Amino acid sequence: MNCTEVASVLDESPVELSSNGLPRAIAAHVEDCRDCAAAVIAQRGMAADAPGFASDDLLDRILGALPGDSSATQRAAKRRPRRLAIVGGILVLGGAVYAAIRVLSGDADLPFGESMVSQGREATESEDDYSTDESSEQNVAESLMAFVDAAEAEDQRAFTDTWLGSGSLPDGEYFSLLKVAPRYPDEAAAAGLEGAAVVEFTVTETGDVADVTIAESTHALFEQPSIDAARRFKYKPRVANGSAEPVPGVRNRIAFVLHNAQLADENEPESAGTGGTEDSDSVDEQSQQAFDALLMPILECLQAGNLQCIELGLDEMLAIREWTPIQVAQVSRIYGFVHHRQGNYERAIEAYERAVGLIGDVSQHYYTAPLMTIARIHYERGRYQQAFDAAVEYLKHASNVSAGAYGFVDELRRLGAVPR
Amino acid sequence: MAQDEKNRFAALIEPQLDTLYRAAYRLYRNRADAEDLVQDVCLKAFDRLEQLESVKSKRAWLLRIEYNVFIDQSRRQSRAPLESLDEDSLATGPSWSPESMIEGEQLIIRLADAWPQLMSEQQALLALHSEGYKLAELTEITGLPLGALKARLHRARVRLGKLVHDIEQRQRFAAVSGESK
Repeated sequence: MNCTEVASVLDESPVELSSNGLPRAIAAHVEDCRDCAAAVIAQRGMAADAPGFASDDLLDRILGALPGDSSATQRAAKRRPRRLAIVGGILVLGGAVYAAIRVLSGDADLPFGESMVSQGREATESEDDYSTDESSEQNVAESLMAFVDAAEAEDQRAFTDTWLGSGSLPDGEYFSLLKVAPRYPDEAAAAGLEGAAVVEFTVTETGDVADVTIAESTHALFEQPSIDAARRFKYKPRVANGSAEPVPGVRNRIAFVLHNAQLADENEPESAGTGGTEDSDSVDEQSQQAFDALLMPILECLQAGNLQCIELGLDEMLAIREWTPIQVAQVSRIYGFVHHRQGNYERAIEAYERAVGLIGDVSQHYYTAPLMTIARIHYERGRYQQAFDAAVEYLKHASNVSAGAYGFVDELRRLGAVPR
Repeated sequence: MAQDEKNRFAALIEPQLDTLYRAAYRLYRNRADAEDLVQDVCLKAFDRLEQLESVKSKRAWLLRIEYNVFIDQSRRQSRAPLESLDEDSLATGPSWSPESMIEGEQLIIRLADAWPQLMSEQQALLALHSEGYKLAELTEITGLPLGALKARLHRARVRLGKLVHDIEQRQRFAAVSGESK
């Protein structure tokens, strides 16, 4: 769908063109151009089906439906706190914390559309207030991400469940995925004190750490920081006879060396969480409004299962203006989703990796969510090391990881992938 | 006080009713739903009576409410999946020139069949534009930037036209092959 030869003519003269026939130059063009021919057909159809006029009694019916017990101003004022509470609640649930904080802190002047402001009157309400459906107050970007999340989660469950076999996990020993560097205690640093602590804990069935205690330490100052760090370790759990099981009594020595607190096993990967692009959470309101407005038709396309119109819409979004890194990450994720569905696997990986690369905070869902999909695509294309790298990165930072995901990682190790 | 408000409101809204109705009719393509939409819009406008009184372009202000309410209502309604156009089948069909194509009442009927398959935003843009609103007014009503508006309006036209053509071709084939509709 590229030809817009007739577009400007149809834009400017919708009715006159249809009733007077096509100018000769355009008539010749549409004989050969399907897109333009279709556009003219649509224009003619719309012009032919002209509506009449409103019923004579419509105004009476409208006036009869108006509430009559209090003034419009009073009704609006009464409704505002309830609406604020509902909006605040829904936005918090939807994850749009920024707008929710504004509402709940008493700042009731939600952003208003530009054209209304241009009327010369200070806007006091969002055009979103015109909606009768409170749920439509939810940020469109969040709705889109929720849609993509749900679709990808379903695929992921189906994929990782294959590693569960017939209801059981593949047997394998536990191994660490993430070890967090401890905080060097200020008092010890000020005193020039170095030392170590040995923590003892249980690796649970889910790969988390529980019941952390100090087995021994060179100084009490190092104990709490060691416990705090150990609680954040993550493991792939032990699986025996097809079931994950806890492993008690796991010990780890944590050394504190001035200028660089180090872990006992330096071959284990350090935790991530440093570097990357800083994402601004303080998205400009107008930018978010514009972003949401452009995403709305894309959300409809997704809900209707029409993927073809999405890419054009996304291209247009990126061309129109500069967006924040997190907004571009959201757009990239949608690209990835669409390409994946259409079987464009390399482009899907490229888009997902771009989304991941834009998120500096590895604890964010936007960072972890695409990783397992990237792993899956690499696996399906025989790139086991890359699949392993992405899957391990996912396991390090995601919450509520399924047992099948660990089984997948085990399988990749059996296929020759190694921890980096 | 309340009656005074209603009187003020009636004086403001009456000149806009046909405008609102015609746009609503193009959106829903039937009188009952169109008038329901107009009523919903007017109820919202009544709650903002002071704003309605002070706003410069009442028509654009009200149409913007109508546009937003229509989009919201459409999102809430369950929608049939959009039919994907098989470009190959269209390419191999008989050549189609708009001059020789379905005309008049047939075109309206085909268009009514195709209409639900458009996205709600596409319906809204086509409806408002065919009511004679210029692009500058449409940018004010929809809040879309001009470039995006033009691109979407054109895509909506092309999409609708292809759907109409597709329906026409299927019905011709059904007629030729003896299938009942």
